[in-house]
Amino acid sequence: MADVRTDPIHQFGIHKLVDINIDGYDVSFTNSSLFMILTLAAIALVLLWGSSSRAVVPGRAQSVAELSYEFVANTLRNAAGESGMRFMPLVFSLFMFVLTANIFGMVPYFFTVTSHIIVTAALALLVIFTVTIYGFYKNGTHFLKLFVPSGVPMAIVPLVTLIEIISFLSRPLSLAVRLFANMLAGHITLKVFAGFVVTLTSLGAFGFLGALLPLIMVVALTALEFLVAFLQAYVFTILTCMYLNDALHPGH
Amino acid sequence: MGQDDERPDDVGSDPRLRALGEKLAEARRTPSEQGGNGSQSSGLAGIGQAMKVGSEFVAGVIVGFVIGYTIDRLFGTTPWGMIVFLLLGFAAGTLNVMRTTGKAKDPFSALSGNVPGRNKDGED
Repeated sequence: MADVRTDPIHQFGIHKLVDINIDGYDVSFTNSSLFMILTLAAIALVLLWGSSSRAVVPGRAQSVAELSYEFVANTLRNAAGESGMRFMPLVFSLFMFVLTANIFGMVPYFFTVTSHIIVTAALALLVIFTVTIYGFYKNGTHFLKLFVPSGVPMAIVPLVTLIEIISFLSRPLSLAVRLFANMLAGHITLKVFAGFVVTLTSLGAFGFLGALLPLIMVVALTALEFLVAFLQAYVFTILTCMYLNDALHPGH
Repeated sequence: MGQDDERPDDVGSDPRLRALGEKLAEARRTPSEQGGNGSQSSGLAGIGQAMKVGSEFVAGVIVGFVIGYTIDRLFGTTPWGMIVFLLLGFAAGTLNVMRTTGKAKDPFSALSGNVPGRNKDGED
């Protein structure tokens, strides 16, 4: 599998486009950076274009902008209540970034930003630091009650607290790993099945017929990947909302 | 919005209009009161939950592993830190899963009483 065309991992390679070195740190502009900027540019364009006309009966772009806003706003309001709406900018940015980056990854020859764990981990840490810092800011030490469930016998409180802390720490990990693993695995699967098609067609007439099966599979998987792209963005958003809810209401 | 501002002379006479008014009120109430995100995402929430459950369990075990490994490296207590924290991580992972599926009570909802939509994902 040395051939670049059929190597399923090759698509995730990072290449330097502009070599930048500041004070010994490598901060080069890579293909990953390029696609992050493209993602942001696409979001900004669609939303600015969508909100420019402000028609009562929305056009296509305005409809997209309004639908995405309403969708995230409803998710946040349901999960974290009306007071959670102060986090709307954060949650909406996260949703739009993850969704657009995932969908961008489905375009052939495009780089999938969210298939790198460093990107998803940064997003997850942003969420969990927001939750922790805001939780302490709003509730003070009362926030620590989160780790000590009520109605537990004193004898096993240390044990339960330890388990609760591990459970809390596992949140950013599961948030980051889920998104990254889904995108990585999905794209590798697509590439592997597409590779089968190429390899089988080189076997002559019989192989040509055999290649039909993985070809059908690739078509089906592409549809599935679009679903996963949206679903992962949605799951990331709803979990963010639920964690923010913990920061807002850790108990009274 | 709702049944309050219906004009009684029009609506009262026609049972179909009244039924429509009730349906409208119901539809307006649904997203916020039932805690779901409307009908179009109820299937999505199910798949999303399926994806959540697996990763949350694994995440708990991995965090336990990392803590145990770090403690062993810092204090030279190999292999006890790993053993204890792997078990605790397993417990935390199980707790995560039970919480996700709504089998175990969330400490937050237990403390704060009625947080709107708190266990929404557990219902579907």
